[in-house]
Amino acid sequence: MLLDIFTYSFMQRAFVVGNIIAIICPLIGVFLVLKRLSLIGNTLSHVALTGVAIGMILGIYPIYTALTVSILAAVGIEKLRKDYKDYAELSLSIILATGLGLATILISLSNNNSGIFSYLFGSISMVTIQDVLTVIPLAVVIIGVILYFYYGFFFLAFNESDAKLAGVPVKVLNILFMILVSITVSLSMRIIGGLLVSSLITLPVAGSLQLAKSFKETIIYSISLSLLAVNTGLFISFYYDLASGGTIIVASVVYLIGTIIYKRINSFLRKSELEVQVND
Amino acid sequence: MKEIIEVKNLSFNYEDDYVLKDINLTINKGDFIAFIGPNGSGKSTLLKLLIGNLKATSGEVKLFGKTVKNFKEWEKIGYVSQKVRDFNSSFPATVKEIIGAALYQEMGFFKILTRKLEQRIDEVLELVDMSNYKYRKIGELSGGQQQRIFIARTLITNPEIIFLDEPLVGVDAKSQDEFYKLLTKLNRELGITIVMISHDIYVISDQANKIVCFGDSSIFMHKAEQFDYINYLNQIKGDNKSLIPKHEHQGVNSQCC
Repeated sequence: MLLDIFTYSFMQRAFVVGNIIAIICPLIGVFLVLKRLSLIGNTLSHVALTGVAIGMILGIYPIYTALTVSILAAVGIEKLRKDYKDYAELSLSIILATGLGLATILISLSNNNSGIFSYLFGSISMVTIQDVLTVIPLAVVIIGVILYFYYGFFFLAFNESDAKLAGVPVKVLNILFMILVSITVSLSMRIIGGLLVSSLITLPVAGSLQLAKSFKETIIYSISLSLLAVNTGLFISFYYDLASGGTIIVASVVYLIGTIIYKRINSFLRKSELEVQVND
Repeated sequence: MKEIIEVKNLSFNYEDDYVLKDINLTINKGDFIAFIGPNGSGKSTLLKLLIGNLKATSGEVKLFGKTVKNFKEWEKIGYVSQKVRDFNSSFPATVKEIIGAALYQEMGFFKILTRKLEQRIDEVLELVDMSNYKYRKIGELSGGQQQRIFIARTLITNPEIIFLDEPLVGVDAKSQDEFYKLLTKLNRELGITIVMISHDIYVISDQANKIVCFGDSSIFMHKAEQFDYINYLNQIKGDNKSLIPKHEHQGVNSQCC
């Protein structure tokens, strides 16, 4: 039976957390991609690993320490982004190097390789009720803040200096946004793993950009594609006993290719339709 | 005449290299001012100093009586940049969304568009004659149409002054003509002060009431009717700077037309 999957309580938890992450990752991702900062997810997830390792060593719930460390790093990125104005990606490399260096040292100290492994690649069987109870309120905060400042974030992504002229509180929103990114990354590590978080932040957005005709549509399509990918990934990984994170990402790649092919076919059809009209 | 912008002893430099030195300038309400001068003479720098995007080395800029640092009423100021250069044309947003974003300060608790605000979008689109393009993606429009949309976006907050930094680069001649007509309409009918950087000296000296020439880190203000642009162009040509004067194409392909 296909629905057997829902009789396992760990799968129920995985589906709840997975679907919430499927909404917040691309929601944040749309703004990141349009700000040309899509690699930030990658940087912060490596930094978050440092947090996970600290948590394991100190015996604290690792998501909390990951959250703290990645928020600090996010603020650091924002500061460095100002110092290297024309090399925004340099700030990412600096923080990524620091994070990964520290993480490697701390992981070797912690002697808990299997635990770290689940945060690197994601593991649905290890989603706890504490994970569910952490993800739900924080996701509500993320969605709430984005909705509250919707046009502010939109304007920031479109053009920062124009946004300032329109009275958008640029500095505050930039820092707030970076904090949202760090929360998203830390929360997503459980299901898809630190190494793969940035894919769920960017791939659905890449697919959506092929189809959308407005900013609102870009957000809606990104979330839809990501929900599709996460659920397909969870089903397949359960029935074929595959790594959940990897399966979800491969599913998003398949959907992305799907949107590219769809767009090609569509524009081909439109072109031939136009030619028919011209010939008539 | 009400002074709305006052620049006093303003200097800006990169290390020892002065872009602008000891500049004084007053802009009155209702002015249509053209900034002209060779590339690198500090026109864009001055605009950026005026809107607080750059910080002056010394001297001060006052907007509506307040220093740039303490100025808060940014909705009174519109800025249209050289979009061809600094705007991502594949940004997935409609004309409505782009103009709507400028209403940020007037949005309610949630920063989203209400029906009342949407009505204002319709009004400014009508003003720039682009009503049919409300739901089109910004990247699908031509350069001239995009600039009209950016003007509309500036107009939506009822600004008292609009700065334009070479807005017509890459825009075809016919659209340029319409664009100038629109600016004149905004200036004469709505009383909006306009400051525009342009290389198109023939046209701009026709529309503007004051011309500000940039050169040697200084500026010189002329009344438009007293400005001898032919003499100016000859001087520029002698300097071998990067301005190409308009010419009549005489003797070239004269039989074809």
